[in-house]
Formats: sequence, structure tokens, C-alpha cells
Amino acid sequence: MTVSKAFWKIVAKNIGVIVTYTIILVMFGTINMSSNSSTAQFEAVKPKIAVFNHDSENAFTNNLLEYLDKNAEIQQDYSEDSVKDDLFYEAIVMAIDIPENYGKDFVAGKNPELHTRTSSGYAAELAKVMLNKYLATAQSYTVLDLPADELAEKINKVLDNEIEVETLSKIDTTQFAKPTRYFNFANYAILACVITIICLIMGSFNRREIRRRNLVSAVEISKMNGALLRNSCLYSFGVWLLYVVIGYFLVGSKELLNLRGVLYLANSLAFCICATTIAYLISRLISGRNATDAVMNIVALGSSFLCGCFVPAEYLPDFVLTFAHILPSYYYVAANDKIGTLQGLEFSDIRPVLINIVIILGFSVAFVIAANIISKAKQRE
Amino acid sequence: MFWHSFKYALRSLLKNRSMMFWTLAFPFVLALLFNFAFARLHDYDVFEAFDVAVVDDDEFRDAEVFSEAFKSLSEADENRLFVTQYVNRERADELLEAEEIEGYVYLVDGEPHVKVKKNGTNQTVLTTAVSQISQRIEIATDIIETKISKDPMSAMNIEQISKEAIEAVSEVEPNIKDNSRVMNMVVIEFYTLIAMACMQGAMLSSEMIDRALPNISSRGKRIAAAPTRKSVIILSNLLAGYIVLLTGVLGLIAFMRFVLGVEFGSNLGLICAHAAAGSLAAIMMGMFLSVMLKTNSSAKNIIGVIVTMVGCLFAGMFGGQKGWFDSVMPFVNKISPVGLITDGYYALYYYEDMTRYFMNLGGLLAIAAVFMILSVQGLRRQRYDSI
Amino acid sequence: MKNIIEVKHLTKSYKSKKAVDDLSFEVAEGEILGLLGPNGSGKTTTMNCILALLKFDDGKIKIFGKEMTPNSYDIKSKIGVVFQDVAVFDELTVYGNIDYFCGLYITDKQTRAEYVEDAIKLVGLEENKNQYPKQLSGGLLRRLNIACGIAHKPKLIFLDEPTVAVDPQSRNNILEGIKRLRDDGATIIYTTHYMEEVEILCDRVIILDKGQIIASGTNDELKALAKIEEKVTVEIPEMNPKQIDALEQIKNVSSVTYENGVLKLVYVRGKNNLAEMIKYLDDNKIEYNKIFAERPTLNDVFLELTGKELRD
Repeated sequence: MTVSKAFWKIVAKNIGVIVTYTIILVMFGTINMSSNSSTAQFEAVKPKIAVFNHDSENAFTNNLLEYLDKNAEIQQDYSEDSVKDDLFYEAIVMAIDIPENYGKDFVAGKNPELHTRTSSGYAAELAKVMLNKYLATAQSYTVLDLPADELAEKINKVLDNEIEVETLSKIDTTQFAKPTRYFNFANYAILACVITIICLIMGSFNRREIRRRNLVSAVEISKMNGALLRNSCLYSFGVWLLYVVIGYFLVGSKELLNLRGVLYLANSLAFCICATTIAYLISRLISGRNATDAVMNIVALGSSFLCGCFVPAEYLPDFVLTFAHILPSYYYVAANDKIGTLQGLEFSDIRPVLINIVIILGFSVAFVIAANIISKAKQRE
Repeated sequence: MFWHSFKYALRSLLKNRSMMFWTLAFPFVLALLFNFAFARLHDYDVFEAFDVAVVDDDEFRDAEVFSEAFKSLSEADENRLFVTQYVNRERADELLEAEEIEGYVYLVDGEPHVKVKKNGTNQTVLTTAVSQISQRIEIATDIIETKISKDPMSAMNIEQISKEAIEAVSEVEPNIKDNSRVMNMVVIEFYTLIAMACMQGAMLSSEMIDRALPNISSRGKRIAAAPTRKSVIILSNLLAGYIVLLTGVLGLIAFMRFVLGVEFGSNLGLICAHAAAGSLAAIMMGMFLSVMLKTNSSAKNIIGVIVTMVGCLFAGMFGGQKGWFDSVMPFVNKISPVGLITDGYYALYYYEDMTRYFMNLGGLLAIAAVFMILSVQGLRRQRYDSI
Repeated sequence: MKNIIEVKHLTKSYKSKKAVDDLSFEVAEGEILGLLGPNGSGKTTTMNCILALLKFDDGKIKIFGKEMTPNSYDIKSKIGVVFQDVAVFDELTVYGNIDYFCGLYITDKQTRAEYVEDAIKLVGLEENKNQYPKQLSGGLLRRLNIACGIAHKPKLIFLDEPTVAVDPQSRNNILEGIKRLRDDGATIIYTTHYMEEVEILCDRVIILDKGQIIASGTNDELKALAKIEEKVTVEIPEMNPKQIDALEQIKNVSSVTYENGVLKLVYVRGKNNLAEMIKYLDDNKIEYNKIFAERPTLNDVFLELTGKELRD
């Protein structure tokens, strides 16, 4: 059928668009999923610190260093020149300068000053708490006037006695952080790919000259529209499949080849369908490559920022999240986040995810209805 | 003729809706989105007390010191950490399962235990607080026992010893001098956004120059047939583009500084100079693309976008550590206009010594000069085989 | 009369194909020269080479007695060009576009303002001064295109197919305007593949094919090349082969065709061919309806010289 042929020819001509956004997804997804990323460090991990020890060998300072080594990641062979920049970029979160005679003075009860330089951020706060804990304990014991080795013993005894923390979770869900982040990031790529191409094609077919030519042709206009819609859905399905395959390679098969994986796929497929309907609606409202590019960027980037794709939702301000409720991406991301933390896969566990998927499909229906209303109104012009 | 050409170049540029959107409006939209997304990332001044529970059984009631200490953290004052419910074990489990509390505390043989559902900031705060109370009790007890064991007679004055022990744990203030400014890594996102806005100048100037090239457009042919020097046309077009771009970039910086509250340091002159240098480098890059690449406007645009986005990636806009990129491919940020612009603003904000800033500024001017010289050579030699 | 343009042995190739092949011609002051030829014959390439917009392989070009180069600003200031593609800025109004391009030639504001108004009047766009190109129809857009090229009152004007896809009213307007320009003293090079325009406008015609001049001269001189004096066409409902054969024997008749009730005769000579034909038909009691005679066209010339039609 000629409409289909023309559709896929235009897709082929614009393959560059698809390649571009796919590369973006792969690149940025990989960066965000790696542990190098500071914005990914929302879990409690050992803070990276640097220590510059100007004190001589003594039991107290050695004990402090051992404690730091146990509770943080001390960067070895570290240079003073890198400190300023590394603190800013959180390559290290704290630099400790232990002055001369520190150990001796501390044990003597003089309470000497310890110099630190810290960055801002969650990891830095953890590092501060860790250091504070040691020094507060040590300082409390100075009231006993103990020699250095005894003091060290007492400090260690207290600090080794950690309280027991029990987690209700039976499953360690941190392993699902990767696929969750991948699929959340895919929100941008899916919207960009689908909206750009479908709007381009719809725009071509809706150009006044071509539409007129189509209207006087022997093919029924409804059949033509049907063909366009079918091919659009097929294209979106293709995009979805592409990103699933890429996800399979990037994330690792273990996380995706189970019911949890099926949920990720179902959620993303529903969202692809929604993206198609968004594209359909936009193509009814505007025409022209430049305008489409502009609207697509605002929709894709806007929803990605506001719904927790780039920065997790729990770190977004309340008013942003409230506003985000009107965007389908919100429910897509919420579903992904939920899938990543599911403790069980019974119906009662997965119900919230299914509800979100239904909401996304509900948005799709609403967009199609709106597009048809606009279409009819324009026809009368 | 220069001002005539400039006037019309400016007029047609300002009327070009697409160009105006990408150059002037889109960076503002992005700045707003960044602001929404990153606003709370480093917001540690505002701490909100969160919901926890305590298993209120005999064990808890017997551990007077612990329970008093915990209750004090739950008091409705400015130091409040917790909004605490006192419930039985089953109820606590129910609340935790339903995620109505972040965790709960219970005691077994006088030892506190914490139960949580997941691992996050609040869970860490709860664990740390409970651990601290427990440790302080242990230290105080140990101090009392040690004192008595050293001097059994002091057991007669148990009240005094206890008081000293309690003071030793509660009135302790570690002597740590922290030489840090409060700084916010999130500003890098805004600096790279400024760089991206500057780089829009490459697309802008590429388009302006293409209009004057006979092998690209019919308007270019008409202009080439006119008795106006190529240099006059091109310079006037470039100037118009530069003025529009710089206005947009300075407006963006003002918006970030005064509306969004992004920190830039205090040297207004250098802030503007850096924007001017960055914009100039971008404009010259656009001229280079236009003159040297034997391809259509669309392809030149795409190349400009790729150079910009890769530059932004290496400069740290999309998460990932700039430090890591610098260790893997250090030269990229030293020759990329995006990298130089971002690093220059970072240096202004973070360093007192101006050397690093001026290195970046110099780098931008050097890039502008190189592109300009190459483009001029290209234009001089240009005679067409086919148009 | 002095020659405004002198082209000697102009040769230009695109890769292996010769677009212009050893072309030589002159253009006298005040004349309208038509460059006629089918698509791909080298008309636009010739024009672009003369304007120093294109490199060429061989040849010499002089305009106003001086060699033409890309930096010949004194020569360029006296030339006006109207390209085949509409070359205007979408973001400027009709007035803005004409003023901009005129301003590349005329620096004095007052003079320029006058010239712009004159140009708008010449092409009949007074009512569209403040409109943008997107708001204009195809014909009006072409008029704007022309106005931008001639507003500065050049002495030498190049028009490259200025009436392509233009409505008849606009076309007439354009042709009238060109005549007025010539009357005001301009020399005009007019490229087209519409022979009717050439016949109306041009003093002299050069016919190009495959980058070479295959004929040049005035309209009449060229038509003489066609070896055709007159063509007579008659609507005859019925004719038998004997009658057709008899017609072929008539003096000066070079060919006779009869198809679908239409008889066509081509005469190589003769002054009263039509009258004699009518007399013949009456004498032989052959019924006829419409009858008319026409002079040979340049298409006939082209067909004679190349075996092809001008418009493919």
C-alpha cells in the first residue's frame, strides 16, 4: 500500500534521528548507571576521603587512622593539588589534616584542633558524622586520664559495638536499581524518537498541497488515516523493541528474564503507546519541522526533569511532584521505581504497578480523543 | 553599506522565530527545569522530622536513660528528629510494612535494635541516632566503672561520679575546624547550560553566513553579484548574530543569578567578559563550519549540535563526574569551548586566584582566533565549481 | 554601437560533462538578447560564468570593456540580476527586501528610497509593500524577485527565466516592465525556454543546445533558417488520399499531413499561400471549416536544427 511505503521511506530518510537519540540513551544511561556517578550515590556508602598526616607515630593517631580506614575509603598517594577540585566534584568528600603532636596533645587532654575540608552533600555529612563519632568518644574518655593505648582500646570497644539493624526486606532490591534507572532514562529517548518521527511524517502528509491531493485521490481518506495510524504504532513498537534489546545488553539478562522484567517491559510498552498518542496529538496542533523540534524538546526534557528521570523523584521538591501528576511520565517512572523495590510478585504486590500502567493507557485514550476533536475542528476550517 | 547590511541582518534574525526560540527562549526553559530538578539536592539546612515508632514494652520502660534520651529527640522543638509513636511489636511491624514509619526501635536485654524496610537517608539517621545514644550510655557506664575500679572509695560519691560521667558524654564538642565554603556542585549544571546557550551561536552564525554564500542559497548568489565586499556582508551578519547571542546569554546569566539564585562569584565584569569570549568562540566556530564544510545547512547544524552535546557531556552536564572525564581524556575539556566556558565560571566561583580563570578566557579567545583565521583563508580562496 | 558584453571561447565543464563548449558572443548596448534553449543547454551556467559566480575552464569575459572578476566591484555596481530561484528573505517585508538589496548598490538613503518606490511601481506591488513573502502568490513573488534585482537601475540586467510558473497577468506585467527598462537605457540578457517571450521581447536571439550556439540572429533571421515561410491549417471533415497527394504537388508545399480532420500544410516560400489554398479548396469543392495561417516559430527553427522540441 502506497501510504505505508511512503511512511517507511520517510522513516528511513530520518534514521539519523533515531540513531542520535539511541546513542544518547546508551551513553547517558551507561554513565548514570555506573557507580562513578555522584548523582547515583543516594545510598549509604563508605565516603571517599584523603588524609594528610603530619603527626609522628603514636598510638592515638594510629588508632584514628585505623578507624578511618575501616569506615571510609582513604585515597592512597593523594596529592594536595587535587584536593580543591576533587572536593568540589565529590571525588573525595573530606580531606583531613592531622597536625604535628596531635596524638600527644589529645591524650594529654589539651583537645587540639583537627583541620578538615569537606564538600557539600550527603556523603560529606556521613563522613562528618563518622569523624565526629570517633572524636566525641575519645574526648569523653579523656576525663579518665588514660595512656594512649588504653584510650585506644576503650574507644575501639565502644565503636565496634554496633547496634543491630534488621531489614524487613527479604530481597535485596538494590540490584534492581540498574534496570529501573535505564528504563527511567529511556523516557526521554522514547518520547524524542517517537514524537520527532511521527510528527515529521504526519506533518508531511498533512501539508496542504499533499492533503488536497490525497483528498481528491481514489483512496478513502479514512483508509489513509488508518494506514498512517497503523504504521505509526508499528514504528513505536519497533522503537520499544530496540530499547528493550539494548536494555538487555546494558543491564544484564538476569534482571530482565523474570516476572519483574516482564513488568518493566509491559510498563515501557504502555508508555510507548502513550508516546505515540502524544505524537499524534502534537501533529494535529502544529506543523513544520522547527516547531515540532521545539515542542518535542520541551515535552521530552520537561517531563524527564519533572517526573524523576534524571534526578530521582524523592529528591524533587513537593510542588514539582504535584505538578508532575498531570504528565504520563510521572506514572511511568513511579511504576518503574515500584517494580525495582517489589518484595514479592503476588498480585497484591504488583497491583500498584498495574494501576499505573492502566493510568498511562488512560492518558493514551484521552490524547487520541483530543486529537480527533482537534482534527474535526480543523477540517471545518 | 556595513550598517545597512547589519541593520537588515539584525532585523531578519529577530524575525526568525525558530532561531529566536533556540537562542533566547530554550535556555531559559532548561534553566527553570534544572532549577526544579536540582533545587533540593543539596538542601541540608532544612531537615524534616520523620515518622518512627518505638516498641513500648517493659524493656523500653526499664531502660530509663535510653528512653529519656530517645524521647528528647522526639520533642517538638527545633532539634526534633523524630515523630515517634509508642506501640506494641505487632503494630510496629504493621506500620513498617505499610511504610507509615521509616523504622522502629525495640530493646532486647537492654540493647537497642532497629528494624527498617529499606535503606535510605532517614534510615541512616535513625540508626545513627540510636547508635549514638547507646554508645553514650556505654561510655558513661564505662567511665563510672573505671573510676570506681581505680578508686573504690569513690563509690561513696556515686552521684558526683555519675554527674561527671554524664557531662563527659553530653557536653563533648570535638574540636574540628572545617575550612570549607558551602558549595554546591549543582552549579556546574547551570554553567554547562550557559556554555550550551553560547554554543547556540555556532548554529546562528552558520545560518547567517550560509545566507551570504552563493553556493548555498539564491540570496547568496544575489549578494555575491552585488558590488559589496564579501567581508562587509559577512562581518555585518556576524556582528548581528553576536549581539543577539550575547544579549541572550547575559540575560540567561542574570536570570540564573537573580531569579534562580545560582552562585557566580562577585566579579561582574569577569562574568560578562567570559560570556562575551564564549559567545565569540561559538560565533567563529559557526563561521568555520559554514565556510569550510561542503555540505548543506542542515548537516552543518547537526555537526554543531553534536560538538555542543559532546562538549556538555564532558563538562559534566549529564551526571557523571567531570573529574573522571578529565582523567580519561584530559585534552577534551581544554579545547572544547563548552569545557572552557564551564571551567572558567567554576574558577570564578570557587577560586580566589584568577590564573585558572584567565587560562580559560585565553583559551576561548585563542579558539575564536583560530576559527576566524581559517575561515578567512577559506573565504578568500573561494571560487565555485558549481553553485 | 559598442558591445557591453564580450564572451570569447567560454568553456565550462562539470566533472566530465561540458556544460558550456567554446561559446563566443557579444551583446550590444541597449539591446535585449534572448538566450534560448531547452533545459540543460547551458543558459544558466553561461550567465553565472559571466557574472563571475562560477569558475570556468577557458575563455575571456569582458563587461563594459573590462575583464570581469569576482572583485570587479565597479562593474558589479552597474549590473542587476534576477535569478531563476526566488531570492528574497522570508523575514523581511516586500519593501524591506527591495530596500536591502538596493542598499547593496546605492548608499545614499534618499536616492535609494526613491529607487525602491520606483521599483515597486514598476512591478505593480504597491498594495503589497508591507506583506511578507509567505503571504504572496507565486506570481507576486516573482515580481518581488525582479524588483530586488533591478531596483538600483542597473545598466546591464540579467534575467534568468523570470516568468516560470507565473500567472498570465503577472507575466504580462513582467514583460511590460522589461520593455520599459530597455526603453530607459538598460541592456538586457534574457534567458528562457518560452519562445513566445523571446519573440515578443528580444532584439536578438542566441539558441543554445548542449552548451553550444547552434543559431543566432534576429527573430526573422532565425526563422529564415527554418526554411519555412508559412504554415496553413484547415479543418476538413473528409478527404481522400488522392486529394492529399494532389496537394503535395502544389508549388512551394514541402509537407502535407491530414489527421483527425485537420489538414496541415507547410510552405517553404510564397506570399499568397493562404488565398491560393482557399481557392484550391473551393475549386475542388472540398468542404472546410476553420482555416488559418501562421508564421514559423523558433521552435520550428530548433526542431529544424536539432530534431528536438524546445520544450521537452
